Amino acid sequence: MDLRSRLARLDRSVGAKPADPAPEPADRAALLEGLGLTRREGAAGPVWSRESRTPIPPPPGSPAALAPLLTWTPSTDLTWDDVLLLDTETTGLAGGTGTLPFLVGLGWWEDGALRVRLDFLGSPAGEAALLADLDAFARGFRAVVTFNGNGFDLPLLRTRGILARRRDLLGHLEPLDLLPACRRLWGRRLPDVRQGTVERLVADVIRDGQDIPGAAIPRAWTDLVLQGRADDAALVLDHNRWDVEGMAAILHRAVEALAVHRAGPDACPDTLSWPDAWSLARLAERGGDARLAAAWMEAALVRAPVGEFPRLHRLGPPAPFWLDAVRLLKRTGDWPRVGALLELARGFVGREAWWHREAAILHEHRLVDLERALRHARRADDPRRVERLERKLGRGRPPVADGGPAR
Amino acid sequence: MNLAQLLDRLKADEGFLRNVTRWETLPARPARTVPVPDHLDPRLRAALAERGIEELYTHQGSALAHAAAGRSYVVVTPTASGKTLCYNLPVLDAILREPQARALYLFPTKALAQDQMHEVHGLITATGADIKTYTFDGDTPEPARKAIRSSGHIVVTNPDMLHQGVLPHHTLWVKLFENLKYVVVDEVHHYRGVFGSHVANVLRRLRRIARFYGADPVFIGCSATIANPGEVAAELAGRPVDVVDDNGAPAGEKHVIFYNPPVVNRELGIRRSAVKETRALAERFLSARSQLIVFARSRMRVELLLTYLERSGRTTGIKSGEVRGYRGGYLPTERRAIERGLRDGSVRAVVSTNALELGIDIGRLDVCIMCGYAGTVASSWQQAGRAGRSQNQSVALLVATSNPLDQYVVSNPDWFFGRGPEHAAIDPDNLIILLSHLKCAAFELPFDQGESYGGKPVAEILDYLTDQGVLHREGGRYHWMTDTYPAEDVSLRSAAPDNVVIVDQSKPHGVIIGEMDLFSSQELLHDEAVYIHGARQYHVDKLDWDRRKAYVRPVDVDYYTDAQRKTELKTLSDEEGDDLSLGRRGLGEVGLVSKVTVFKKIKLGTHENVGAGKVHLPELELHTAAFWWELPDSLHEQMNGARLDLGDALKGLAHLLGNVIPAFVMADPADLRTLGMVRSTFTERPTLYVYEAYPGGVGYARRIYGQIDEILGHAREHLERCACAAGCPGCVGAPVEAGATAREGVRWILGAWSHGSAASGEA
Repeated sequence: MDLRSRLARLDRSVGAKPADPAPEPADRAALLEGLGLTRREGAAGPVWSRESRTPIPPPPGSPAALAPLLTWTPSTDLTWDDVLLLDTETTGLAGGTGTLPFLVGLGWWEDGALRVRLDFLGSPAGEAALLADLDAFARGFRAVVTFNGNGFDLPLLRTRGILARRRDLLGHLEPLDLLPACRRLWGRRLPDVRQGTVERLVADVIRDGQDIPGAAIPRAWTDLVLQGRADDAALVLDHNRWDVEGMAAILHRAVEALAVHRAGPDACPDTLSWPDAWSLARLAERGGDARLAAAWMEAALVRAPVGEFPRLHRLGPPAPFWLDAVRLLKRTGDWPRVGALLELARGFVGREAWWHREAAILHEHRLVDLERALRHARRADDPRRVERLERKLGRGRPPVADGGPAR
Repeated sequence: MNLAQLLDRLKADEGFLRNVTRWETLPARPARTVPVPDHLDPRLRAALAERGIEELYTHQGSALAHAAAGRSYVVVTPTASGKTLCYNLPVLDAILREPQARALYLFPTKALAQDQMHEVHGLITATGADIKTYTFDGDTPEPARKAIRSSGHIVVTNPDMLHQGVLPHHTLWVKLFENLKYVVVDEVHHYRGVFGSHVANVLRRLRRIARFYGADPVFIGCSATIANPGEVAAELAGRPVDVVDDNGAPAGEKHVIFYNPPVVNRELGIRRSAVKETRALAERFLSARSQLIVFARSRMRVELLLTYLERSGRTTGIKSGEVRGYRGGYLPTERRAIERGLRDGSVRAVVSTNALELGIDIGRLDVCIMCGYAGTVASSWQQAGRAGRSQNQSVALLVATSNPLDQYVVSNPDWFFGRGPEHAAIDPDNLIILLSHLKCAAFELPFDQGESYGGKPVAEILDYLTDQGVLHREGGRYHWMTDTYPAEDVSLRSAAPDNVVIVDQSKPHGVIIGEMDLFSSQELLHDEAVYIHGARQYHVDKLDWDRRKAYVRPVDVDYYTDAQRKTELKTLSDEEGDDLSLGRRGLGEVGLVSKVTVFKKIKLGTHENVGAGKVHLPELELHTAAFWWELPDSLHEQMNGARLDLGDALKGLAHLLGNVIPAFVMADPADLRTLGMVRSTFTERPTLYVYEAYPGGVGYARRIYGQIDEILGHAREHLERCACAAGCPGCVGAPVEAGATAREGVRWILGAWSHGSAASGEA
């Protein structure tokens, strides 16, 4: 029995399904041209690309305004011309060295508009040329914007670079990942922070056409390479272009949100939602500005639906909101305000142990109402505080001679 | 009374000696040493001196010489002979000279890996150098992984982690692969059969990746004594490997005693309980103030013996806490406590499953008692090696159970002492296994056209994968084309990608305790089967065939289940064959279609049939390697003339060889199956088949083919010595299963083979 027959028989005996028969090889170049791609000479060989220009201007000001969202400090001379937008489509999400980026979408600003270039792999054999060209092109930039690129696109390209004997591909670019940025700015309002959701609900972007579902993308490419079918590949190209343009739109909104953040609640639009105000409070806290954080938290409280459904706490802000509010407002030292806040929160989180603990602390140390503090301490199941308060009220046992409970 | 006095007493004890089938005394051996080589880094020489090591054993010196010459080697010396220095010294020496150098240590279990980390850390601390050693396994927290990848000098891992967690992500390990100087594989003998064939391929992929980064590491292996350590090591290393077996470690006089409990039921061939005999013997040694280890084959037996010995204080003087149990899954802290206790004498006895057979360092003791044969000669010597301090006498005592293999070994001590250890069979080119790893390799790095793998051309297989749409060939390369992660689909402990997963339902949310290939799972995991896993019994509540899941829960019952399989066998190819003194031997590939239809419940000990049930599972196809013995047609008439039934005789012969063959190849009984056919469609004659349980086979059939005359000789001797009257599970099978004339029929056939003539019928 020849080797192929043995392999087929063995495969059957372990339950593997036979593959579809391979069709006749297609004219690859014609297929790619049919997708609107043009063969161009890249830095180290031919690359198939499609370019477009969209009238999305660069965001106002400088990328340095995004500093609160970054893990690195942008130089003040950084301009939007220095920023590259990047998104990939790959043969899978499993990770590892066998995942191939068959489409690299790039965006950059030139003459006040957004240029988009889609570099497409007609076959795996073209990868080295594509990566060489990407490497050379990216040298003209200083920062790269992605959506979840820190966790996916950039490590993937770095891996493919190593396999192509090209170390540290794109390593010189400072990264701005919009995923954590969107989570920080709008994550408390949105149902999720997928790019499509942010585009629709924050940037008012609607994709005008049929968008291919993510799960179908890998197959679209293998169908083209192995079966000579290009229909879904056309959809993938559109999808990727929309991804790049979508990132540009999201950048605009991020810059706006940060401008509002800097200006403070007195200057913010009425349309700002309470979850977004809350996000700005947390952003200010992260930046070390306790005063601004408290101010944004007050703005959130003003906007939150707290008066409307005092007993229907399920419909109001969740417990983390109240926790943050108490924490941030405590830093102002305005104890009567904190007391009023706790009263307001009672309708929503009054049964929770943390609320009683905060109330106990406030009444014991700031408002000096020990009876009330004791009631809250009991409800908070805080035995050390209970013991101390009882002692202060003359009801408890004296402390043990060897030191007693630590304060 | 001390050990020497007890031994004198035993030599004069007729009651004891009546059950002894062999008492072998191995003479004492002094240490043979060589100076510590001058070329070793001075910090390492100082560290050795600090530990009182002024000279090295000959095998350690030889290992260092090989490493210095850049030659791969495998060290084959007994337990506690200082094998770890044979790799720690060259590795640390290389890193001290070249701080960028890296090494990868591979251990078969996490427990061993942790123990060795402890060992090498001690040596590193003594050098005062900044050498970082890390384990990398499934428990390594994510934040630690980055540091390990970039700065770990020695990365300690296991084959499964290497296969799924390192190689498919090799671009994250550039520093390791670029500077990889040594790959250390401990317990080489453990990598045999299906597991070994897989691990050999994992190492092929490792070498391929190292080559990509410009590295060509030296392979260092450590092995227990098997017949072919160099061969196995070479298959793992992918290159010739020298065997370093000039053992220079000292040993005291050792007494190896085979003890067969007396028969209590001749009809069924049942003997007195091995557990109770072990207990009695252990108590005698404990009374003589010996430190001892008892090996038992099942967890149940370990627990029983532990309880017996803990309660034996009145006769042995043993106190609470002086007897400890040991099994797989113990934490490092617990193991350290037992080791310490053995060293300072506060622990006088350890009762263990085979978990302690692998090289965990518990030092050496006075006495080792093996309750049941360890399964192979190699494993037996490993267990026996636990007893024996450098200067004093020691005892290794095998107490046989009624198990057929035990009886074979204890009744044929010449075979055990004369033949040496078994050959380990390994076949990295098993097609199913090779195919699955080629996919993993192609995922890791594209294949160039004409590139070989494991030193062999693989273009045909790559083309097959291209036809399947798994790869795409273009630009002179084969590229990975699917969105799957192939390493996930490959279990290193199975030959087939589609396994049944075994889920213990008694734990919250169900816990996966193992996997099994489809073929074996029909026989062992059908509904209501009693399945043994890790020496524990489990009841199979449900086998969900479509979802490939078996739901089990632990039980403690007094029976086991035995499923009946109906098999149709076809010979697909005939690779080799020649004449034996009776009939012909053959080797080739067979295809089986088989169905498991019913099962029996068999009482433990008495082997009575206590119940039965039906099995409703689909037919399965298996394509595998097989050996066969084709017998002359004239046998029908000749045996009829002697009023013997050929069909019964073939059944009995199949059973007998099934018992004897695993003693010759290091296979579990479940790895091989036997089938007698009164008229095979291929040979058109009476034929006895021995086929491998895994698709494609892993080399056992070939081994059997090569050793068949020896195997038949020993089968005949074993049958003659069996104490039963008319057949029993220990030889040809009980008469109710094999047939009333099976025993005589098998004697007849083996007699004819032995006399080289079908006309003879003499015993």
